[in-house]
This record gives sequence, C-alpha cells and structure tokens, in this order.
Amino acid sequence: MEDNIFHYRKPEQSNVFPGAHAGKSVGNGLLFKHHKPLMSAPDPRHIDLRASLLNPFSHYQVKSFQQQSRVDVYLVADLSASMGYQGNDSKQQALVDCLISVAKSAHATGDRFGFVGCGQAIDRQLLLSPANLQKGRVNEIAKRIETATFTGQAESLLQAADYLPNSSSLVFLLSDFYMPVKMIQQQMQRLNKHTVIPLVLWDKQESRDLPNWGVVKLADMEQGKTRTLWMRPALKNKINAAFKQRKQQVQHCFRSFGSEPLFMEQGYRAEAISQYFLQLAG
Amino acid sequence: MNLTVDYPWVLFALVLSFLPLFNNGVSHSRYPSIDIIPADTFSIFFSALIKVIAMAAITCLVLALAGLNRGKQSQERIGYGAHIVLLLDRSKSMDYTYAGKAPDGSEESKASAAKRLLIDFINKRQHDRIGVAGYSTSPLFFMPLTENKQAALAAVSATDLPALAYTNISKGLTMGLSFFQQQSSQTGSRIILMVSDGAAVVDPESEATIRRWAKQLNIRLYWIFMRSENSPGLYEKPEDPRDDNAGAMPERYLHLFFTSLGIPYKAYQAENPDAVQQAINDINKLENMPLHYVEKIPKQDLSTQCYLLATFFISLLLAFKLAEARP
Repeated sequence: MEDNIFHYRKPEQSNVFPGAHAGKSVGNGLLFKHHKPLMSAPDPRHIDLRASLLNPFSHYQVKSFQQQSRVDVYLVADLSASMGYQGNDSKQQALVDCLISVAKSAHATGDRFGFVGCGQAIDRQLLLSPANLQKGRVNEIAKRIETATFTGQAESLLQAADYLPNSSSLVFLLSDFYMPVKMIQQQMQRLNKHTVIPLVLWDKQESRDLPNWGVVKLADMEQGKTRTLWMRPALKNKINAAFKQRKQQVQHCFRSFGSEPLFMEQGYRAEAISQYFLQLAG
Repeated sequence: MNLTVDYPWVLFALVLSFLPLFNNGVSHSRYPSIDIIPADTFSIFFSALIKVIAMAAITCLVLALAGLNRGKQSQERIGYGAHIVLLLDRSKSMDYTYAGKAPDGSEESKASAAKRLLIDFINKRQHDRIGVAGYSTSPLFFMPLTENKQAALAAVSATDLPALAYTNISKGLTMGLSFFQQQSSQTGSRIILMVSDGAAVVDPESEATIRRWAKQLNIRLYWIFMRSENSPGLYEKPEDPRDDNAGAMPERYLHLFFTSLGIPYKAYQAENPDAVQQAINDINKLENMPLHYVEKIPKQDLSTQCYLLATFFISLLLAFKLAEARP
C-alpha cells in the first residue's frame, strides 16, 4: 500500500522535537543557519576555525544548524449524514481511505497523527487525540467508520478545534463543505493557528452526472426535505452553474484565511494531495 | 346540479385524497444538500401539478365508489304548445269502416285511421304534453299527461286493438277532465281532443260535474266526430219534432251540450280520413300558446364518468412515473 502515501510539508515549523520538516528551531541539522559564540552554544564539535580567526574579538565561533522538526498531523473529518452519499464513488469509503492514507503518510514521515471525527457530537470512539505515533487505533477507527451510518449535521465541527493542540499543526479538514459559508468561516477562525488543508469531497453525480431528462426527486440527507425536479438540459446547466458558483464561494472563503482548498471529485486519491503540496511549494 | 351519492359513508375515504400532499410518489434519491440546487419555477409547478392530479384521481375514485349521481331533478321548460288529452272512443263501432262494415283490407277501420292520423299529429306537436284516455263501457286510463312522445305514441298505437262494447261518453269526459285536475297551475292551453264515431246521452249527474270542471279547468274542447254513413250528423234537425230528444239523436244533443258549456268548443264532422286530417291540421294551427311546464329528469349515474376521469388522471400519473429518471 505504498501508493497510499503522499508527501507533505509544513512551513515555519517551531516544534522542538526533531522530525522531517524544515523548522525555525536551531539544533542539529544539515542546513547551516548562523554562527554563535562558543559560550552560547557549547558544542566544540562544530567550532568553525575560519570564522573564529576572522572574529575581531577572538571568540570561538560555533556553527549552528537549522533543526528539522516534527509536525502534528490531524485529520478533522465531517461525519454528517451527507458524507454517507453514494454517488459515482462512496464518500464514506473516501473518508476511510483518507483516514488510512493520512495516518500512513504521517507515520512514514515520522510525524504524530491525530483524528477528530465530527458528527452531531464528537464521539470519543472516533477520536485520536492527542496525536501519537501508534498505528493500531487508526485501523480500528477506520473499521468503525466503514460500517457506521452517519446521521444529522456536523454540528460538532466547530468544537473540533478544542481537541487540537495549542501549537501549530497540520490539519486536514475533510468535508463536502455544503454547510453555509458562514459556518466555514467560523470553523476557519477557530483553526487559525494551524495550517489547514481543506479537502473538499464532492461527487460528479451531484451535479454534472445528473440525468438530462426526466423526473427526479432529491431527498436531502441532512434536513429531510425533498425537491422534485423536472430535469432538462436548461435546468442541468443551471445546476452546474450553481455548483461552479459554490466552488468559487468556497475557494474565496478559504483563500481569505490563507489556505487553498483541494477539491476531490473522484473519491480520495493520495497523489492529489502530493500534487497539492508540490504546487504549494512551487 | 343536484349531486347525491348512494353510499355516503364511502365519502369518509375522501380523507385519503390528502395523502398526495405528503408524498408525490416519485421515488426519491438521496442527495447531500439540495440547498445548492437553484429554485426552478417549472419544477415547483410540476410538483404541485402531480399532487393536484393525484388528489383528483383519488377523489374521483372515491366518488365513483360512493356512487355519485345527478339526483332526480325537475327542470322548468317553456315551449309553444298545449296540454292535450286525447280521448278516444273505444266502442265497437270504431272497428268498422266509415261505411259501417268490418274492414276487409281495401278500407281501413275508423280506429286505425284515427290512430294513424293521431300518431302523425303527435309527431308534429313537438312541445306538447299529451295524455291519452279512452272510453267505452267505462273510462280507460292509458297514459297521464307527459312530455315523453314515445310513451304517448305507444299509448295511441295500443288503441286499435279490438274494441269493447258501448259508448259511455260522460264517464270518458270526466276522466279526460280529471287529467287536468292534477295540475296545480295552468300554463299553455288545455285541450281535450275527443275522437268518436257516435255519442250517447250524458246523464244529469255527470253533466253537472262536466259543466263545473270544464269551466274551472279552462278547457278547450275539440270533437272529431267520425260520422259513419247514414248515421245522423251533428247539425241535422230531425224532420219529426217528436224525434228531437237526446235518446233519438245523441250526437245532436251532445253537440248542443258542448256548445252550452260556455268554453271554446269546435266540432269536426269527419266523414272520411281526409276530413279527420283537416280537423287535426286546424287544431295544429290554433293551439300554439306559450307553455310552461316542469320536465322531470331521472337520476343519472355519474360513476362511469368518475371512473373515466380517474383513469385519465391515473394514466397521467403513470406517464409521469415512466418519465422518472432512474440512476
């Protein structure tokens, strides 16, 4: 299952524990940062003789390096009823795939992984917090999610921030983001100290793959409302336009908080996240 | 419109017609969030239409099961015509020809001539109400006043069956008059068309009744006298004054009696079928006064129409069902 792993990075790391990410802390590493007097960095192995000789006060200078730091990786997942949608791909399956993939990637990179599943209330059984290095519970939670029936709205999504650490972490926020934009904004405000990667899970069946002609009745999975539609190309165009607009709205909302949403419309694919991070770096 | 149902308790099932308000029957598919889908006026209209059609279908079915019918009702009608009572002589002599012989095929009997001509007459008088009575030894009740031409024609057709014995004209007249007594208000003219080939003495008791009723009921009397050969006419005066009495010349005396009633009266002395035709044409021309009457319409079953409507609505719903897009 090597292909399930993606590569990620988080800029401006300040975690004291060594890891795989470029960080702000000074310590052992490969990347030279600056010289320090021997008194403040008493590490004679790194005395730079040339720099010491050049020093006008004849102080021994020690090379100090930027330390690679560890990151806490969290997956905050929306477990509302709409995430049980089965279109071209099952969103529930995508959720499980994502959970396993993020956990594996975090472990492969040597970071700690935590999970917060937000249904109507936060279920302790579906909680992996604080983030840790153990893999065992991830599979258990994945199995639980796979067989669960989601109900209600993701009202607890706003409380997810309470389960995240104080220090800045990398937070994957997985949802279909069909909630009001205002709620997304509140959510982002609560997560503002973290680096948030919004993963928007959509399905083509919801918009582009609706039938061209015929009568359809759509039952909202969360509100219990139904709408009968007489499908025809004009209406389908209207729906597609509405989804395009919604996409822009969501993008605009996330960008105003400094994070770029990743739209996934064909189920979960780890490469998409790798690519996302590559684009972010470039 | 006077709608009634046969089984009112079935109407409780009309409550069922509210069911489509809760579910329009389109099989639904789950959808994450319908709030994003833009409002579509046509779809809203269509959704309402399905509900209305489904409600109408259930209502029609329930009404049909309850046996909806247009209750028996009466309708006021105004026509030009008259209330006519045909008073037919059914005495034995009517079965003979004008010559006073039994009909042998070359000449028709007076009864069948009268029948033929009266049928013509009825067919011409489209807006009349016609009753039929006869008399012989005693009065014969055939058909009350009706606007149903078929019934009147059938009653007249029945009159050329072999007849009975005597001529009791006063009883017959009383019966003819009694037809009008059942009517509460008078509209149009009231006519008694008496067809006979002879006359009889009117007994004093009946005479008083006839005089009173004829006045009271505002009757017009037409008498078609089918005179046989050699029988005394209406206007003939006997040569011998001793014969000038009701017993010897009943026709003359009956005519005098009718004249003395003080009502519009006309007698036709018809010696052959053409003369009868002439008399009938006269009446046809004279009696065309506005006629106001109440027509009775029997109750009409509407459940078939209800079932048809329901079938139509259900087939529409079926068409919508088949137009469903299945993922």
